[in-house]
Amino acid sequence: MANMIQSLAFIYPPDASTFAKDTDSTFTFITWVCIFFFVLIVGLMVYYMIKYRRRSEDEVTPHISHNLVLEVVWSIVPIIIVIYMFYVGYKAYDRMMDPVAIMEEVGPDGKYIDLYVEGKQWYWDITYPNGAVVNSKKSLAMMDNGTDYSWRPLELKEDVDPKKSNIKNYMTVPLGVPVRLNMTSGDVIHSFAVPAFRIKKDVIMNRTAVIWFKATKPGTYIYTCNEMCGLDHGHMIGYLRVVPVDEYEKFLEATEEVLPPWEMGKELFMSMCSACHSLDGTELPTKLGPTWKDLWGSERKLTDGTTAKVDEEYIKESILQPNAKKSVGYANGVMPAQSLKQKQINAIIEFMKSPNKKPENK
Amino acid sequence: MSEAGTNYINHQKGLKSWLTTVDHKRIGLMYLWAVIIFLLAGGLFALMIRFQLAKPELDLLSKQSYNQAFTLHGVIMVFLFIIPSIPAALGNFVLPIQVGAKDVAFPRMNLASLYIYVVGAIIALAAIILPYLPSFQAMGWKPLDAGWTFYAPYSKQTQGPVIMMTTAAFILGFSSIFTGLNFIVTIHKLRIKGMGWYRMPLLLWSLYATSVLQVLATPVVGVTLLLLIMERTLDIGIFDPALGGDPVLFQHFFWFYSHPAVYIMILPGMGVISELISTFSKKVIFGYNAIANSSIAIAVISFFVWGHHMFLSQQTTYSSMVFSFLTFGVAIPSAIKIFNWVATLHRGSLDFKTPMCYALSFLFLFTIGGLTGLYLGTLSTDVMLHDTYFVVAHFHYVMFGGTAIAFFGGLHYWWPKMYGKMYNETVGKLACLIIFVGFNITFFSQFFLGSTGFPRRYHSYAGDAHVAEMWRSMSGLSTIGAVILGLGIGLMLINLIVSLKTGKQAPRNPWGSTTLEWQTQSPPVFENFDGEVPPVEKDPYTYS
Repeated sequence: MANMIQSLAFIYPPDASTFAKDTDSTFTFITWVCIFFFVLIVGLMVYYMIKYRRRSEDEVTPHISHNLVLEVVWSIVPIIIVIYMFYVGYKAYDRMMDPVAIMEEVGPDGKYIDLYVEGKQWYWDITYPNGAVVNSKKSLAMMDNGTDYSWRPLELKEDVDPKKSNIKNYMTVPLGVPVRLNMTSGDVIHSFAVPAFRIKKDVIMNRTAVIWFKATKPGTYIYTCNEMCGLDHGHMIGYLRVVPVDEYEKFLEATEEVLPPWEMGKELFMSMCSACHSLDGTELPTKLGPTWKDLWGSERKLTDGTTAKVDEEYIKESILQPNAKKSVGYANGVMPAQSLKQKQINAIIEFMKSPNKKPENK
Repeated sequence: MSEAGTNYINHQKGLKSWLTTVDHKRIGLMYLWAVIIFLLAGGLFALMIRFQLAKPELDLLSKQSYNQAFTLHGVIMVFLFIIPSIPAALGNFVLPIQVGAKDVAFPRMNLASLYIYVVGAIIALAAIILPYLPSFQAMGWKPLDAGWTFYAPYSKQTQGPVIMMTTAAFILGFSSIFTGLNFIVTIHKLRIKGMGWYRMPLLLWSLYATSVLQVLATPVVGVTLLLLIMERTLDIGIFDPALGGDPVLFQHFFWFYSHPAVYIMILPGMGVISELISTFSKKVIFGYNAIANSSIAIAVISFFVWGHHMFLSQQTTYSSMVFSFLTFGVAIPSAIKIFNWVATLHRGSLDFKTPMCYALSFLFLFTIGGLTGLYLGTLSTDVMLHDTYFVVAHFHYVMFGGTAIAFFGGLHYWWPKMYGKMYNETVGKLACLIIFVGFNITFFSQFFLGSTGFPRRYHSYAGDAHVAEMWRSMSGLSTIGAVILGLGIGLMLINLIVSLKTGKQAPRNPWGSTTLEWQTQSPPVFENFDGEVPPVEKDPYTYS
């Protein structure tokens, strides 16, 4: 099969995810089925065109109205073939669309990454767990020498110079670590597609579309919008980099330095905490966790009867091991452990100290 | 017996006699010229699209003009050309004669359908042209750019005349329903003595299946477009997610019509091909029952496959699975038809007249169109190919390589009956060859564009690396093909028009066909047959 895929390699985009091989082998199988039937049908047609061309006006043809055996055979054989096609296609699709199937691809460390994708007219914002945001339009801007309407290949051949300032706006994903995309739209329907990964899904406002992949080949690729979304639909594209894990970590650190602590804390809060914690005093049942309004420095009643002051130590522990101490009224296991770095935890603390107002610069 | 030399064209004279006629043949001719005009208009927009994409990073059309060009190309070709082409133009002319009747069951309704079509077409033309006029631009009008599918919520947001165009499509829908009703009743009630259901020419089976689809499916798109109009004017919140609506619901409604509409477009073409292949092989069609029944099977199954347009729309995996499975179900009857046509050629006496050349082109092109559908019915490969040029290539192979080629074939087949003139065979065949070559160059290249990920409806592309190198060459090739295709269609039409002046008088039955329309004179007299029509005593296509 591998050879057969190779024989048609020129018709595929780069194969850079675990799905690529699977999809390409189905594609190749269908192609050979098509070639077989095409040659059969058109071959016979051409053969008959030559052999049975009219030689005189008064030729008489035999009256062959039907042939049951032949008709049954040419109905059953295609049915069997398409049922197989249906089955392999469905199996791969089911896996690709299933948000839980990602667990089958994680390594021994159990690590996978959740990214948040938002399509807007006409760019993509990709938000990282640390709050960093990369923007598809900005990933193009520098490469294009000022013109914003051209877009480039599926796979960049030349080495991308990491000093270029737009590289921090490349959607960067680690090699060999599964990535789950949680996608939505800020306006009309868009469709997020990475040809090199063979993934694509429509995004719709107020809904989350989930799709995942595991990148297998370092390189720079493009991602596109595939659903007509208005004037600049044809330019709603961006660059994507697949890099080794250590380089991915560096990319994350680089993005962290972009913001001063309070702002970084706010970004982190918006992307990771705001679903369950409010800033305006709202608590259960609307919000599952305690509000951050006046949280800093307060005393919390714990389930073991003691109290604890909300300080640096308490917050750090609550982020890294949320079930170690539990406030009265909040169930165990609701808050997931977050693997944040000290710098990020400090940023969150800065933000929590004054969540509704940016502190004056001293 | 009628007076020698009189026929339906010259028995009454003057514009009024045409505008008030209830003769199905005259109505068919008026439809014919209307759809040909829209074919040329739609083709013009197609050429604009191809020129914009001829080279990387071109700016011949602005982004906005480009979006308008593909929208108008789609709207015109689907609603004004393909859907009415075979049923309303050729079908109107041929169907009543083939059943041995004087006219359709409801001649006035038939004329009404033409008028409704014209009203719809005028509104559509107004929606196309008005936004380009300065006085309308001053009022904030912008040309239509939502694509022929009008997907919400973009169709709600855009400033193009969506309401006007959907109104036009809504009205055109009634024209199609009227024709469908007329055909159903005519086939049920007006068949000549002796013509049982399984003695009908296969064209009638396919027009029957088409008519059922038109009558049942068209109201759904009508309702959908009305809801879209309400959404735009009243902000009800049916489709717009910002108002709590569901944009995927629009897609379900839209494709519930528009998928059967694909078969509204292709089934009549299949009927024409059955006629042509049998006639020019001088041989009984192989598997008459299988072809007739598969038309009905296609019509029924086609109602249950609309979700295959929506595999990536966030419908559940379970729905996608069911729709994928049923989609393969509709592939089988189409394959059976192709096998039957090829088997008909076996031991035939093949006469390569122009209509037969089109029929053989059809077999070649429709086979490619059908087979490439397999990639899109298969779920995992559809994820890769959805909304890329692969889809564009696939449906052009079906819609143009199938329906339009069958329409051209049927046009050449019945032309001598319509006008009583023979066209130049050599030029006719040459035009067919140019169309065949041009078409393949235009659209086969697009399969490669699509498989490497080139998205649909993109205004431009860059060309500076290895895959883009393929895009540059394939996109350029496609543009060259489109020009050749355009020239071929031009030559074909010129040949037909010239024949009106200089063509030889056509005999009653120039092709040696067996169906009833060839037993009357060319062109036929006012009410089709001079004198009594003898009852049908044999199966159709009985050559020996």
